[in-house]
Amino acid sequence: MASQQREDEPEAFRKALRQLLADELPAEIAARGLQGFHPMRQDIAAWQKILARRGWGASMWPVEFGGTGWSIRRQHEFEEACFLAGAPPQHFQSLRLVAPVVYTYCAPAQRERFLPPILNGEEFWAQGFSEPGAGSDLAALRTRAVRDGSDWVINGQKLWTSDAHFCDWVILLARTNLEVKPQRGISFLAVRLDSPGVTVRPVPGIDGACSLNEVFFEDVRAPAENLLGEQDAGWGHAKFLLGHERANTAEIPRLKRGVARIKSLAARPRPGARAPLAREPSFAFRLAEVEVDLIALQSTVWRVIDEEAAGMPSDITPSVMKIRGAELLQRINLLQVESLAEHALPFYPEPDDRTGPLPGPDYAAGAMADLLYRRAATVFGGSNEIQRNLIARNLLKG
Amino acid sequence: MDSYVPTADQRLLAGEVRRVLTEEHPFQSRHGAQDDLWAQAAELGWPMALAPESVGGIGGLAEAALLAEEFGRALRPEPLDLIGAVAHAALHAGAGAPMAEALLSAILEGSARPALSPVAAVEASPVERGWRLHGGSDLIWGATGANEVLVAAVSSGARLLARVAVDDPGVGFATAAGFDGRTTATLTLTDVILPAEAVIAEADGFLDLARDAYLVLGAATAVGAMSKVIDLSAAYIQTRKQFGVELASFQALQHHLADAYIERELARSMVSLGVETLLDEPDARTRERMAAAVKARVGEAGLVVGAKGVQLHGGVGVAEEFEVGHHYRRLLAFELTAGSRAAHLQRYAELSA
Repeated sequence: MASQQREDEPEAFRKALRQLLADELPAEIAARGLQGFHPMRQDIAAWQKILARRGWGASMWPVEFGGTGWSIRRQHEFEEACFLAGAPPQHFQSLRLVAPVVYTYCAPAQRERFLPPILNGEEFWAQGFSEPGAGSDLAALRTRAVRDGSDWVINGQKLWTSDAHFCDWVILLARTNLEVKPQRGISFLAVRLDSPGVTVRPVPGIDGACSLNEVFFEDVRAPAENLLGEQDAGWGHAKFLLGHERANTAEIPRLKRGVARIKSLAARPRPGARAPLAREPSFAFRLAEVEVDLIALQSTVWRVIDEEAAGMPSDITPSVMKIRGAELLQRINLLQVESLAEHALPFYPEPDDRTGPLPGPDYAAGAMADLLYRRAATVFGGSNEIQRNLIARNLLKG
Repeated sequence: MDSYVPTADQRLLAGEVRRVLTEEHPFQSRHGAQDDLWAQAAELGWPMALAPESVGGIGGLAEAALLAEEFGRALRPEPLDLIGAVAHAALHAGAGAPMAEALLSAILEGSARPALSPVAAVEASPVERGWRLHGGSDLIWGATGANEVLVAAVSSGARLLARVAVDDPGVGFATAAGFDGRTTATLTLTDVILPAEAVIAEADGFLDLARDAYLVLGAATAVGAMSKVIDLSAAYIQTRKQFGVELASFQALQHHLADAYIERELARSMVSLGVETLLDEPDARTRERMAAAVKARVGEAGLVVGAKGVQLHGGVGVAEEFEVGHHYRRLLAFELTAGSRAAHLQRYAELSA
């Protein structure tokens, strides 16, 4: 069988992948990627276009919509190789949140409208779920959409909306029915962020960047055909999506890149010290702890992939991976800045905000910003405490 | 092992072992000295699961790990992990050595219950058609119920491995009760003369394989114990009431339970990785590094899970009558055996350099 034949040649695949990264990933994009700042739209779009041209733009989608038909293990290998080379991660909200809703729940006309621009890096989507009063508790959301003729009229506010400042669309969770239980009566709407009545206000982060936003909706009109999926069934769609989100948040490539960066930083000579930090036994010990914990997480990802392939998926292992992945990422980020010591202290602006020379060595750029931003890793995607509640509920139901 | 998911046959085997252990050897039946079921295990053919068909068995290291997990879950004292590790080493490092071949078939038929003295603290000197051994060690793995000992010895700087029965002339095998319901032992050899076919003259490969497999199968045993701790704790907090409500309704306790589960999940993945590495990885140094990672991670996980289980049980967690405290002691013993977490993290770091 052709597809098996393709899967049986890992060396040929790896060679083609190395070739692509060597020939087509622009060096300045890779350099920015390795620093750990928020990727810029122009970099994400450029890389997405390169991948789409190669036919590898949406390896996680079903083949009929532009996917590659790769095994899950190969998808992971692909993602990891790209990330370790410094390629910007493919846009998560667009490719992994919006696209699955569109190809799972939407009509052919909507699929044709929305999927190709995502695949080709032409349109980007923000995720409009969280609100000031509804973070982990989505049932509390208050943004309303009311039908008026052939339009939906939207009023409300979203918060923590990543990348809304550069996106074209927002996928909105809005209340479309007040007559039913809070979990029902919620729908998905596609809203253009340049619609009249939409205001995107950046929320400056403790990392000194503005990747998060507040988005305000004042009598914003969206045509009826922008309803995604079934009306009032958004709660179920959202749960499906968050399942997707959790399954991917072990973030193994990010963790591996972080460990590699620690090793390179800790091997540098230190002013005023007798040896590089890497040679201090207590530091080497903590690094070994992190590496072993990363192995445990990686082997759990493999086990989950095999269990899913065998038709024995676990409800709660994604929560395990989310909790441990986020905690491990924060420990790795801390070891990075410890390796930099005082060199981590200067404030390095985001690449697109820079006017003058860097305030310190180039190898230090981005490490502190990444640590500060990733304090949110244990908060977003369902906080680690919510995940622990889910695990406990599952263990206690028997 | 092609996959981290057990095959249908493997699940069937593990399920049968669990059924026998829970129905015929429940925790309640044990007070003071524990029963020993190795004779029954041999009748049921369980030792044959420790090696593949090519040598007369029905399994291998993956099956050994599943059995070890069940033995851990059932709090069994018999050292299936060590016996399985010896079988693995005899299979892969003993080809052509009469001692290893005889040992392996005796293990599979259930007659050999080897312990291992892994530190080459015994002196060996060649005699005509054999060896003289003299010395001893108080570091013995798998002593519980052992009827023979595999003794690492040193001769002119090289390690060899000798097989002695505990009641051979000149062999002292003094046992003592361990704090975890198993047995510790001290071995003394007083001018013991062995024929050449009772000795593997170049035993580095055997000893390294046995050690790595013991770490992984010990980890599997610990995973079984952790699973039982989680089951016991989940059941207990849903039974016990305080302030008029089930303990399970308190989020702080739910999170202890969730943390225990997280540790167990990662530990189980490490065992799968360990088995896969020992079966497929040709490089000895990589095998040793991964076995060290397994021991470090699972040792720590066991301490966390055991301690959380005792905490979730409240006062009865420290009562001898309750099962959870027995598992805690087993998990603590696992951490202390064959190198602690600190030692293995250090080893991992050295082997990564």
